[in-house]
Parts: sequence; C-alpha cells; structure tokens
Amino acid sequence: MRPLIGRALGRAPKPRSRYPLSPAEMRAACGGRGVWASGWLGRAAWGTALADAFGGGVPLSALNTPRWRDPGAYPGDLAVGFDSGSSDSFQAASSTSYDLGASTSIAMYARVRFSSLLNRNFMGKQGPVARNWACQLQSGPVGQIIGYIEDTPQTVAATVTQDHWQGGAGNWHDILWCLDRVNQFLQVFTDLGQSTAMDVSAIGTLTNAVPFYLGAGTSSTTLDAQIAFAALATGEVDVLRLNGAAVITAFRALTGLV
Amino acid sequence: MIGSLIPSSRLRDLPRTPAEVPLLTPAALYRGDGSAGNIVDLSGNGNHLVPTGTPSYRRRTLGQRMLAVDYPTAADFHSAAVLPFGTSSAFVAAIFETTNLGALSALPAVAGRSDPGANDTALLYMQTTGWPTALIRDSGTNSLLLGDAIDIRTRDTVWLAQLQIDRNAAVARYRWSPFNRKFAPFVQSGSIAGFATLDSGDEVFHTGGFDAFGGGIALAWCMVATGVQCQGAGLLQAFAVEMGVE
Repeated sequence: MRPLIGRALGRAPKPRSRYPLSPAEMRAACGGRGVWASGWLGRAAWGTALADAFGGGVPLSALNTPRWRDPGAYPGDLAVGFDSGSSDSFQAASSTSYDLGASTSIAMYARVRFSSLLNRNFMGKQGPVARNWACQLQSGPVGQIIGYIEDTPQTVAATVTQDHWQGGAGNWHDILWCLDRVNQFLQVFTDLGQSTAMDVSAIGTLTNAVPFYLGAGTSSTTLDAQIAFAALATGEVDVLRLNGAAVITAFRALTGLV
Repeated sequence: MIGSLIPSSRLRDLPRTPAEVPLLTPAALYRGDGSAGNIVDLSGNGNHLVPTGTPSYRRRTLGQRMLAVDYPTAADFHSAAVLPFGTSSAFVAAIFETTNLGALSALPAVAGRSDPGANDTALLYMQTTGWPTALIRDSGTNSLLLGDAIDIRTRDTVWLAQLQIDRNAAVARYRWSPFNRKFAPFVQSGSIAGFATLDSGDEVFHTGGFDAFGGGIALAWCMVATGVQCQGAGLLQAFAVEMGVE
C-alpha cells in the first residue's frame, strides 16, 4: 500500500520496513543465501489463513483460537499471537508438506517474541509420533532456544543458551534453524547467539504424519508468543548454516531490526 | 495562494474506493470534498450521510492539500441512522482539523455513533478543553471514557483519529495521530468486558456535532468498518502507518 496521506501532503514517503514477499526477496534479505520455498507474514486479516507469500502453495490454517493483528516487530508491523491452553496454531493442510526424508535438508527462519516462559515448541513438524523436528523455547535454563530432531529413541538437540525471554521484556528475536544433511549437522542461530553444530548422521528419516505448524503445534498446550514472519528454505541449507550469524544480521537490518 | 498551485490530482490521494483502504474492507467510506448536500458513501453500501444545519463545504485544510466539510457549530453535522455496531467489533477512522482555537462551548464531535443524551455511544470527540476523547456506552449501564489531557487545538496540524471496538479482546482503543509527526500519537485503551449491544434503536452515525456534541472541526475523510476484521491490538498503528500518517 502506498503511503496515501504522505503523498497528499506532498511529503516524501517515510522509509518503511517490510518482509520479503518472494523467494528472491528472501534470498536477498539473507545476503544472497538460501533457496526459499515458503514464507508467511503475520499480517493476515482476522480469522484467515496465513497465505504462502512465496508462492510455495502451503498456506497455514488456524487451529483453535490464535490471535491476529497483534503489534509486530516495527511500527506498523503485525503479528499472529498464541495465548490459550488449546494448542493455538497455524498448520499446513497436509502432513506431506515438508516431510523430511533421511537426506532432506531444511531451514526454518522465524521472527518471534515470547511473552511467557514455558517449555514450548513454536514451529516445526512435531507431534505424538516417533519422528519429529521442531524449535522450542525452554524455561530452564531461562529462555534458551533449542532445535531438535528426533527419531525415537535417538534425539539430537542444538542449544542457543542465551535468554530469549529476558524477563518478559517483549523483545523480538530472529531464529534460524538449519538441518544440513550435506554435512550432517543441526545448528541454530539467533540474534543473541548460536548453538554448536550437532552431528545428525545417526538420525534417519523424519517423515511423520503431523503437519508443519507455527504456534503450539499438536502436542503442546499453552504457548504465549507472537510470530511476525516465518519462512522455510529447502536449498542451500548448508550455505545458510555456514553463514548463520551473517544471515540473521542481514535479515534484521533489512526488516526493521538492527 | 499556495493551494491554487497544488495539482488537483493530489486532492484525490485520500482513499476514495474500498480497494484503496489499507487492511480493512469499509462498511462506509466518506470524503469531505463534496460541494453541497449529502456526504456520499463511496464504499458502495449506501450509507450516505444527510446534512443538518449549514455545514460549510470545500474548506482547505492546514497545508491546503485536502478539502474538508466544516462544522462550525453544534447545529451543523451530517448524519444517518446507519452502521449499527451492535455486539460486533467495529472501527472508525477520521481525518480532520480543529477549527475553533478559542473556548469551546460544546464537545466537538469528530465521527461515530451516538443517540440523544449520548446513552448508546461509540464516538470520537474532544472535550471543551480540546482534549482528545472517545466514549463507549452500551444499551445498559456500562460506560468507558478514553482521554488524554492535551489540547490538540494548539498543535496546528491535521489529525487521523481512530476508534476500535475489539470484542475479541473486550477492549476499546483509540489512537490520535498528528500529520506533522512532531510528537507521538495519543494512545489509550480500556476494557469493555461485559458491554452489551451499543445500539438501542435511536442512534445515528454522525460527522460533526449531534445532540450533546458540538462543532469545531472540519472533516476531510472518514471510514467505518465492522466485524472481526476490526480486531487486533496492532491494527490502529498499522493502519496509521499504511495511510502514511505515522
């Protein structure tokens, strides 16, 4: 939307931040890295699904009672919110979307804010099944972020130990979760730090019967958080992982957070 | 005169179709650049407003870039028995300037719904001190008054004022944003938990004064939306940004 009134006043439009709206824009926002497949913005109209802004054909439909149009990460930005005890989520229609075979790499990017300190997943493909992959906020140690993949009984977790809850300060955080099957590592980056690269060579297929989701998913209960933007990459995940900190820095600079 | 040097095309930059309105699908869309008579609802929903008294048309606002309908006294307004909010979420936005820099004898109304006696009300207006205010009253005894103790008449600017009835959160919010961006918007909110319908049958939607409310503003643009699309704690700021005011 053009800045209507600013134009009416003969005033130059104020520069405004916005999120990438295509795989090419996302790649550019990440410093020319990643082959991005799907992206979702938190500015959907109330009651509507999150359209796949990248044209990946995977809209996420509301489950239970999430919120729409919460304040986002910069002035004028909007986010979806999760606050009830009924597994509020936005989920893909099919569990076959982004199902991961034994050699499939994938990266998740999310801009998220946590309002309560709980052990909760907030994106991934996780449920009451044997194979899972997800990203989680943890209450102890306070506010750390873990990425994990699980092929029961084996689990690999990558932990960013910094506090992302920050006493409920309401700060927005950027998180890049990378499952790099080229080099067989799981690694997580945030604007506050990064995990070590965890060997995942012993983990096989992660194919499961639950859909990809943003929010509380199907096995969590209360998630008190907001998500303003999320995206998935299916190519050059190894490049994203090897440059994770630079990707976070580039994306935040171009989308409202420095 | 500066205004005469401004291309007329600039005067058309305020949204005049539903598609040009950001984030919301309007139930009513009004512009204050008419030359006489009714204010036509440009949303296509037929919620036209009828004049009472002698509004003054095609006033050039501060900065000369927009035309507005001027309501100098409490006897001058546009209204119609339309746009009931009931128990739904709702949104009202208005672009206006104040025109009375002296003492005000009544409460200058900007836009919203009210009835004789202001019993059932969802209205943006000012105190006689020039303070921005919103009043929400239901058909029972519930009442919420939102306000800031700042005389906006002294700020020499055009305003975007917004009122949101968010039934999902049971909160009413307002946001008064100055066009000159020289100071922060005025933002207030309060609980409307337990509020019943905002209608009892005798309300009107009005721009300018009506009944207990007075004149003293010139309206350049206004819109109304209803339903769940009007919900969300970030809507008002996002709308102001999308409109280019903030």
